[in-house]
Amino acid sequence: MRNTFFDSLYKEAMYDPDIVVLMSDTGATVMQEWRANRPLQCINVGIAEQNQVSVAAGLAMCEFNVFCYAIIPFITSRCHDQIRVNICCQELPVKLVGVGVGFDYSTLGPTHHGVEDIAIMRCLPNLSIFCPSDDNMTKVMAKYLVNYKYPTYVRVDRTGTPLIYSRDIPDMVKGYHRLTKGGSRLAIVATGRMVNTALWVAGEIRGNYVKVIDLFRIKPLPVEGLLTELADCDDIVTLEAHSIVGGMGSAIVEMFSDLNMMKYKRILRLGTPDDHCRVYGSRECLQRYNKIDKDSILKSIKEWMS
Amino acid sequence: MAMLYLLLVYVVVGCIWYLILAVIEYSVRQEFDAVEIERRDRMSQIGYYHDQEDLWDKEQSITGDKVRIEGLKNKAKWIRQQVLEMCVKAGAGHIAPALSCVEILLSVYEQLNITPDNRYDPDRDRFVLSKGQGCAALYAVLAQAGFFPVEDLTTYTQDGSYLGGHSESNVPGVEAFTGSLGNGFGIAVGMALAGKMRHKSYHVFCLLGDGELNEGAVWEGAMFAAHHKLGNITAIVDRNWQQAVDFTEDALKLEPLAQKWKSFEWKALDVRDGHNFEEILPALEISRAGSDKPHVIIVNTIKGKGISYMERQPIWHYRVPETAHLVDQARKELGL
Repeated sequence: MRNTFFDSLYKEAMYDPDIVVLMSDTGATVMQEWRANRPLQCINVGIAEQNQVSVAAGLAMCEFNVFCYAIIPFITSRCHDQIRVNICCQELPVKLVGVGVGFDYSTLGPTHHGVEDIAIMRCLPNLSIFCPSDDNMTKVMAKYLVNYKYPTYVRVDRTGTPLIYSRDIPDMVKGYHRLTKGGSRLAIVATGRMVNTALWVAGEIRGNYVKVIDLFRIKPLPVEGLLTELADCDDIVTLEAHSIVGGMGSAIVEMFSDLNMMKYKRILRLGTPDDHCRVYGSRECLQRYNKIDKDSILKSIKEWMS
Repeated sequence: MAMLYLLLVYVVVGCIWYLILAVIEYSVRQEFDAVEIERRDRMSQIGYYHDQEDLWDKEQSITGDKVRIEGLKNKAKWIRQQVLEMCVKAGAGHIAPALSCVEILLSVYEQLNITPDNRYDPDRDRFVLSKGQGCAALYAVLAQAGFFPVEDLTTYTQDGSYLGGHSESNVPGVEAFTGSLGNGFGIAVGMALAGKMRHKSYHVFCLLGDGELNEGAVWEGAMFAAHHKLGNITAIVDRNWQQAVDFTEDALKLEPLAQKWKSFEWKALDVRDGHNFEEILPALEISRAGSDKPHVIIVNTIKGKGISYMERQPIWHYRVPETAHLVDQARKELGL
């Protein structure tokens, strides 16, 4: 997904010298082509994320279209103050691209896990948050973000995921997409890589009668669209590769609470537990350990439903 | 007789007690004096380092500029008065940090090609006040230059005002939103990089506090600017030797400061008296002349300059004179 994002962006950058990528010593393979052919548009700022974001702000103030790239915890937590003050307060259209959703860097430990990013970025005013769910969508999203005029944070997977969309990529402006036809009482709202899991779970539970919604813009939340889709669903499950504290699930609950609709809805938030994962191994292993693998999710939903 | 005797004992005991107190007080004072003497020694050494490589002919560059400098001095006086009045009216504000950089700000705005009319011109010079707490002085400078009405200064930090306690980019003429220390410098570095990438001739000036140099982000930016050979940026350090609570050398030692910057491959200039336009202006001119290295100018200043009881007193970092007596004294000393 990461490669797709930057390949797609590279095609745009070939014709637009104003597009600049600042990387903080991450992504040797993905940026190879950029660095060889467009060295002036791809700057390695070194292992210095605070300066990376400040310099990005300075460049954006001089009309450059800046993309900052780093591993999720370093482009969100490490330089949060710089993002808050330099980017969001000044409403600069800088795009922060974080790689390594959830336990993507499973062998590298909690320093590299991306499980708190939505929570700490969601509270920043003016910032949009995107989370593509497959390579085809990522391709379109990268192009869309080139002309997007707001501070933005995109969280992408390091590796590719099974394709969900083939031809009809949803409209980026809409912010979400309903993946199953029909629908009934139960809806699963998922984001990023978890959309795939949601589709599998939906198939296991009631065939086509579970509504699966791919929420790829977490902020600003597409409130009207979600309300239309979820109006007749009493049970809603939110699914994300992120801590259950303050993530996409929390955003959905907040939305219903603000609209005084909580008494009509039952919401189950699924995500990683409120804890640091100090276990190492494959991504699947860590997901199993934290109960966000396919089977655990299916089990949780079934228990909750009964 | 017994009563008299008792009185005598009482007086003697009292005398001994006061004697003991006096001795204790004397020894404590001795200790305080020792600290004070040490501090004064240190202050007297301020400005006594010199950058041998970068000496310039001050006399030559200011010849014929006496009238201009007189004008600047008058402006500085007016700005100091405004800073005091703004903060006293607001009952809050960083007076001392603003007073230390008045001459620097005026000198920089002498250098910049910015006017209220061309403030959106992509080729304009840029100035970033990274020590955002000094904004009262910047606002006064901008108002005087006509970026916004002078009357607006009286609304400083008042209910609903657009003029706040830290440099706010909504204010006409202010380039960057600062106040979180260390960030403004990074932005200035980014602007300089943009200028280099676009082959523009504009110059970026950035004013940092010396306490601000404690922030690690500053040194990330310094490394970056030197690596990319950004000769179009000048960092000015308001070296008032104080930060919010302590003297800089007591809180987190900065010296040898010029050497630090030089080891980061910056060209370092120092200005001994940061309240003398005849020293600041030529330094700024030199830093602006073409080079492939970024420049830093370390300007020795006095925090709280102009108000005697604030000068070099850390307690006045974020404090406004409360009593009428202190306000009157400050006004008198600033010529109001």
